Amino acid sequence: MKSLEDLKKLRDQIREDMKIRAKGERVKITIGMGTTGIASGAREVLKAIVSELEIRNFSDVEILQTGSIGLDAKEPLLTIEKPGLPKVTYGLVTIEMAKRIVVEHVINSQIIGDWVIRSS
Amino acid sequence: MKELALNILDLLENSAAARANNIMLIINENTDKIHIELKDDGSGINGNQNRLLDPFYSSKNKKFGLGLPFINEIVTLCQGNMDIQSKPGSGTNVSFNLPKGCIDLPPLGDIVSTIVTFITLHPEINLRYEHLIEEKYFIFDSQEFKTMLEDVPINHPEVLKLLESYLENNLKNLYGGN
Repeated sequence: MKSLEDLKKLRDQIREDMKIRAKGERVKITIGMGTTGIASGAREVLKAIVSELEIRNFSDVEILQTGSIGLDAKEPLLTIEKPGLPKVTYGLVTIEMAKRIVVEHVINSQIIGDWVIRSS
Repeated sequence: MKELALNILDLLENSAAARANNIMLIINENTDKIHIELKDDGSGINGNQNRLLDPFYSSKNKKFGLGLPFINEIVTLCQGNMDIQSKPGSGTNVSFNLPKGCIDLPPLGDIVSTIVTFITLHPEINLRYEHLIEEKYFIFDSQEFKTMLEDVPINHPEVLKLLESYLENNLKNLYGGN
């Protein structure tokens, strides 16, 4: 961004985009951001998620954080709640895994079974 | 933690957990030392403040991480100093000074990712970030961005991308780029 004008331009563009697009139900993405999560790479995982969402032009998401949920050995932890699908938690999430989870699960509704550590 | 920026993210999350509405992060560096200060208007911390540095003590049912004990460890190893001011109802102010020559001092690291991550997760909190290096400084205020964005959320993926490059460019300038 060179100037604040760029920000205004982007704002107007996003606003137009939001008008055109039918609002889908939002996907809830929750990442573990306690001390262990942060030390295990949660910040980089979250960055990868946001970047993939940006590339895929998918913004019907709500991104939330949680503290330790007692599964520290499996951090970074990522929980996805998409309407119509079970709530699923992935463990030991890497940057590469995070990108695939966004494309396959968050956008295309395909749970990646091999990486799931908890499902409800 | 591999970077001080990760310790800072941990402390920022503490402020969020204390329901802060406004947070100020100040980083002041010169060739000899680095000073980091975090002020919030959250719920504050009750009781004996030395206990906050105890890794086996937690103020809120284990939700409080090891943020402060980890910082305290670096401060002790590097013979820096640390100050915590907090009262229930009037927020918390954590500040510490670390000598740059210390072999146990992690690099500051990716402060831009820390700020962007925090804003992604807590768009409602106003974060002011001031970074000073010698006589140069850079100030970022998320509230100004939000005012400009009006109804568009600051944590929209495209806004975050722009925010990241904005912070990166400004930090590059601060560290002596053109």
